[in-house]
Amino acid sequence: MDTAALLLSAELAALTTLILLLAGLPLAAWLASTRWRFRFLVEAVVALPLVLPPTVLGFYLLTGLGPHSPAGRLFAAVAGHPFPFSFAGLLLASVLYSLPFAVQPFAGALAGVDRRLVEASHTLGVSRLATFFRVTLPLAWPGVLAGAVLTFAHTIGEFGVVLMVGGNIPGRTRTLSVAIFDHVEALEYGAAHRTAALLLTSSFAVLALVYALQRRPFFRWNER
Amino acid sequence: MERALTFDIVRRFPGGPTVAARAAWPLDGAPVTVLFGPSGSGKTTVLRALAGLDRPEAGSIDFGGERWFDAGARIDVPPQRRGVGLLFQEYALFPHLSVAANLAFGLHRLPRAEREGRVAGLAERFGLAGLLGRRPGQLSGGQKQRVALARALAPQPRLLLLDEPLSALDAPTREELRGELRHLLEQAGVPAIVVTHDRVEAHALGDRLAVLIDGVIRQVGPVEEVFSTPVDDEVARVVGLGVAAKMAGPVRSATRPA
Repeated sequence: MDTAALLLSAELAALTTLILLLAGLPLAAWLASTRWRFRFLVEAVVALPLVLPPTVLGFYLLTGLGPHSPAGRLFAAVAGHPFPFSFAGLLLASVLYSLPFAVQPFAGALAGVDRRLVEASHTLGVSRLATFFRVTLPLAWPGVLAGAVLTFAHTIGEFGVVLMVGGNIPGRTRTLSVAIFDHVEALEYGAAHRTAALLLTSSFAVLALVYALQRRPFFRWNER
Repeated sequence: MERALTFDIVRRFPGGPTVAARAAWPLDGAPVTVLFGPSGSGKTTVLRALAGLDRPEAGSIDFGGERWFDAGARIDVPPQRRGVGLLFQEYALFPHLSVAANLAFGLHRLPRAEREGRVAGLAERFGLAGLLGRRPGQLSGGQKQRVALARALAPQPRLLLLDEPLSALDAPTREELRGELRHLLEQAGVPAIVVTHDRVEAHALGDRLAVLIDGVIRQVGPVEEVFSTPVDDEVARVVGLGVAAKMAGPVRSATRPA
């Protein structure tokens, strides 16, 4: 078993999900409520990773954040090491690549919360931020959970971005999907089988869970 | 000087009607003002502007000498700081919270003991004591209405706004609760504005009537007076030429002098 690769994939996916919960929820809340007429441009940018091959994202990240660019020097100053072939670089790329998988379900779930409940909270003297945590988030929770699970699963299955940005350094940027690629290249079909089967079954379990959550009211207050 | 509610607001809807409502009435004395008019006349728009949920394009709102809104001076006091209780048409109870938590929702700044005391007091007054542990989904229409009213009154608002408070109920319940609602509003001791398009309701609930037609307030006066002496033909048609007075006979005396 590729234990190191498994742990690395899990760590990458967990951190990506956490960051996208913290950054994606405010973005989704803004998308769900703004009446700005150029909102569609932001929506298009968020959706870009759905259609772009990961090589495009990886290529622009490498050139944009390479050691010779100003942004790359800033990254190196903050992270303490250059962007390419580092875990922090891989994490940044994963966050961008999984953005639509988090923000789209979040925004859908937040927009589905009855606007009048939010207004009722405001007239009861509760601030916008407190209303978000006391009304909007508890009611949108199944959709937020679905987005988080999808983000986690999508990051586990990432391949192209990892190769472009992270390379293939054991224990640092060698994730499960890259490990399988290595095994196949080396004709180690037995090892490839074990890792691939693990990914297949766990991905199926995760997706089944997501669809079950969306199909059945998970919390009793979502029963209408 | 007498405390008064004064508003003069203009709200335009793109490709739709314009509401340009202007009126003033004292806040003391007659407790319940009915904002009356046919559907689409802009009643809810006025109510939402008073609550601070919608921002009019122009005009101003003054409440007892306090400026709530002034388009020219860019004053817009947010709903959180207006001290207004709003009863939504479908009640908008928080479905994920118990009745007790719904009642306590606006009391987050009070210490726990005081908050619980006030919830218990409201539950008693509104006949909700046995329902505190239930969720809104387990309540009847009439019970929901009482929870919503108690929730709006819990933070002791200075003005109570009710948007079609009886329209979400079936006809027999509506008949039954009209009198009860009037009683609860009298008891609350807070000036109230009730939006309705129903003459019987206007008659049963209101002390004062403000008639809104096509976004303009055409007449304000005591309910009896507006029903018996409308200022013009259009108001007369909308209030129904005193027909309502006879229809509402059992609820409020129609024999009092016009």
